[in-house]
Amino acid sequence: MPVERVIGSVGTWPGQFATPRAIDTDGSTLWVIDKTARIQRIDPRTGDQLSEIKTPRHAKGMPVGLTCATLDGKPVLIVPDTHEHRVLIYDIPEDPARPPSIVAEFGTYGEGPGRFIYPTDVEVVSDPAFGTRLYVGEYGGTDRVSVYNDRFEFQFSFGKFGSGADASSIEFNRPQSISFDPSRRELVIADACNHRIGRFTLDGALVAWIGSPEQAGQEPGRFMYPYGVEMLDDGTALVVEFQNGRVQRIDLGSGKGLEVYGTRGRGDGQMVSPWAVCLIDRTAYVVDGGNNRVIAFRSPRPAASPTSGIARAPMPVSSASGPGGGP
Amino acid sequence: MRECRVERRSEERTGVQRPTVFVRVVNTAIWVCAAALVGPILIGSFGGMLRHPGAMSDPGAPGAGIAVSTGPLLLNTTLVAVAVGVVAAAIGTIVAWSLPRRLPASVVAIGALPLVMPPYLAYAGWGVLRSPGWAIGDWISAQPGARAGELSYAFGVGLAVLGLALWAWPLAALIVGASVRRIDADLRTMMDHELRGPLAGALIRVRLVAPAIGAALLVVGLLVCGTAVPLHLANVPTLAINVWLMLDRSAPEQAWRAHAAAWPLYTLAVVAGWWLGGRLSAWSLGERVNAPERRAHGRGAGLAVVACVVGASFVAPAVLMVMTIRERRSIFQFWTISGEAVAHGALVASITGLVVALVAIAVSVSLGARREGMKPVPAGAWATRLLLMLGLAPGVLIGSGLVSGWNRIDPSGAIASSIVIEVLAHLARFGWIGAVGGCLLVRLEHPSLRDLRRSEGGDSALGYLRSRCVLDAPVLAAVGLCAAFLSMTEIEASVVVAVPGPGNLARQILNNLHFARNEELSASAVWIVASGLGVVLSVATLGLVRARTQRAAPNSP
Repeated sequence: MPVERVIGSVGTWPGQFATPRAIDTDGSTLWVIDKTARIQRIDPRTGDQLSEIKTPRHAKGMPVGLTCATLDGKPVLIVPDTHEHRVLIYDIPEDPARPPSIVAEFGTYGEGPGRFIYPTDVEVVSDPAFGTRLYVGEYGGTDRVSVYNDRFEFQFSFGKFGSGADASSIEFNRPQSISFDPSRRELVIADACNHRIGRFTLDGALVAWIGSPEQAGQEPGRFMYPYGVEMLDDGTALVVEFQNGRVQRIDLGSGKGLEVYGTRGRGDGQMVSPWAVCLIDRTAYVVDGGNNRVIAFRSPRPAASPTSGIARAPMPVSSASGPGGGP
Repeated sequence: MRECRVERRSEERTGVQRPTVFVRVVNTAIWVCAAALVGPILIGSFGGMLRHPGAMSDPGAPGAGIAVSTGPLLLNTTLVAVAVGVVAAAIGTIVAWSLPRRLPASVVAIGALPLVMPPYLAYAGWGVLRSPGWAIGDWISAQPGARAGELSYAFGVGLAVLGLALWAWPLAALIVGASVRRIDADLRTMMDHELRGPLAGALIRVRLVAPAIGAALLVVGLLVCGTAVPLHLANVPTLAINVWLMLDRSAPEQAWRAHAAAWPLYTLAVVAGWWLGGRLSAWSLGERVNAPERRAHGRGAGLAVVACVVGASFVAPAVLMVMTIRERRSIFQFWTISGEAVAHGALVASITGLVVALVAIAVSVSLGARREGMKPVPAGAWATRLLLMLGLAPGVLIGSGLVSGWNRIDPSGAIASSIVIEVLAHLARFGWIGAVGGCLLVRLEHPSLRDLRRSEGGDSALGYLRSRCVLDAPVLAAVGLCAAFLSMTEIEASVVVAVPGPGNLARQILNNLHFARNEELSASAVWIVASGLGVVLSVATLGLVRARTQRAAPNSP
């Protein structure tokens, strides 16, 4: 894998990481969360830390996801506070040096509607038909995707725990990452522990599964714990595989593996337990969790462009950035 | 024989008894192996400290934000260690007193079942009870707000303590049992008949073996001080966990800081390993108890006690985990995901088991060759001490020290990135089983038989193979199997020395535990527990067959 640059090293100093596990971009800066519950805003060109916050409570565990989006016309950072069973919404200050602050939160512990066991990732999709929706992935027995409106009111959910492929009964085993495919107007969900990627309509109907628990493996087109998914502008997707230590570019139409980036290991161009990916221009930034760094490499395509009606974060850089990379 | 005659002539001339060539070769091999283990650990862990004197106090140092030497943390570590030690020693004492003096091999094998249930699986198994849908879990989640969290946490802490105690009690039972065996048979019979009231009887029995109970508490407590996984899962802060975190957040060249911060754990391991190793070596050559007698009465009750304890520490958590499997195909899916890891783990475990069995042979040869007036102290005694010290040290530190040390010795990384480093790490962690097995082999050989063997030239390599190897085979097999099984399920050193991925079973299990992949965890538990059960039942069956064969033999003693 031709690595453009490596950001960070192990540690707890500004700009260092202790097992980073989620990443996303507001279009110009990177947001990275690590196992110390630190959320750092990073300059992607220099790797310098611009600002830093910690989630309010993290004794029970750390968040495993992170999403940049726009709500009510304002850029926000959405953090599924996994072990606190809630979703936190932070503002994204224009001044990069100013740390963000919490502007809203929703969710509480439980299995019922509007409750979470362990939320994993959030994707925001706006559409003239339904306004703005927040899709929240969740695991821990109630493995499902819950849908909220922009007032954080529960709308509906789809999925339950399992590994079945039947379209009439959608089953997940840790829906770890959710991404929006603007070209097909579908959701693409990394069903991590079932080793497959799912395509869904915006109302939660199954379109297709790519891969299956039985087909888990290391060959191209197969997955082992796909933890992160990010759409490219040509309808293909970058899929980050936690256990295979690599990123695959997948044709979501045919399900074929087009390219493989990286191998498992600790050297240059290698990754250990990668979690997530996001793009700025045509540079993909992968969280190489086990090596405590972020690896930047050249993507064959830029991120999926936002289409009409899709609310996204401001993008001063020429092409789109994608949310939902952070598992 | 010729070698023996030459040795004897030399001894007659000088008046000093010298070990045979075979024993000297074994002793040299022990020193070489010890150097390969301890040398890199010393270089890797303490080399950095010597190069950066005073750097530990740097407030901006990596990992400086993690508390490692605060009073509350040390107190918490001690409290957890004592709690686990007390529970394990209590269970071990009850079992040791309940059983007859001589146990059939089959019962011993069944009693060892908890050891094939790693403490993190026992924790996870019992932890099922606090999940939603179970009475305790539903009760906890019904509590208002913060109280539910507090109750869940407290329950988790209790489970972690219980899980470790349920894993460690066979060790406590062995220690206390050795002391119970030394009590005169007549005294025991008298106590059984004369003592009235269960409390009075229990108090007198405890007082009779109080030093052994203390030793059991100490050994289990020391093991717990260096253990991290179940306590980490339960969010119980201990020194070993914080040292692991510090190691995790430091660059390899800064790993020495974590080693330096762990000085209380190292001190405990060195002092306790030295003391226990000395005691063990002395015990192996010490005075023997007269032929033990069987107690016919109370045998059923004793076996019932063992059945209950084994049920709580093995059967119940295993059943609970099986019950949580929602889809039967998950059990077979385990092989798709972890087949490569199991194959690699089995290879490492097999080599480790073989090497640990060789350690047992080496220690028994070295210690068994000791005679009156012989100097210096045999290598076997030193090896026993060293291996116990390594076994009591935290696994993450052993792994990190070995990797750092071997990377300095061999910058090409040929050792540190190969299977050799994994075997070395597991040898460092479980070599003590071989040392204990070696001491047991020496103890099992009656002094008169040993003298006879020596006089017949049995101190040579060929003599050993002819006279002892077959007799020692059951103990060697048990030692090798025990080490291999522990190696297979070891996590703490493995996650440090091996690269994560499809070939790393330890990392996969840790991820399953860490990320609450309960379905995958239960599926892997099924196979781990089933393989352990298979090995134990095979040993028990062999023991039964052997006992029947011996009873059937006309000249059986």
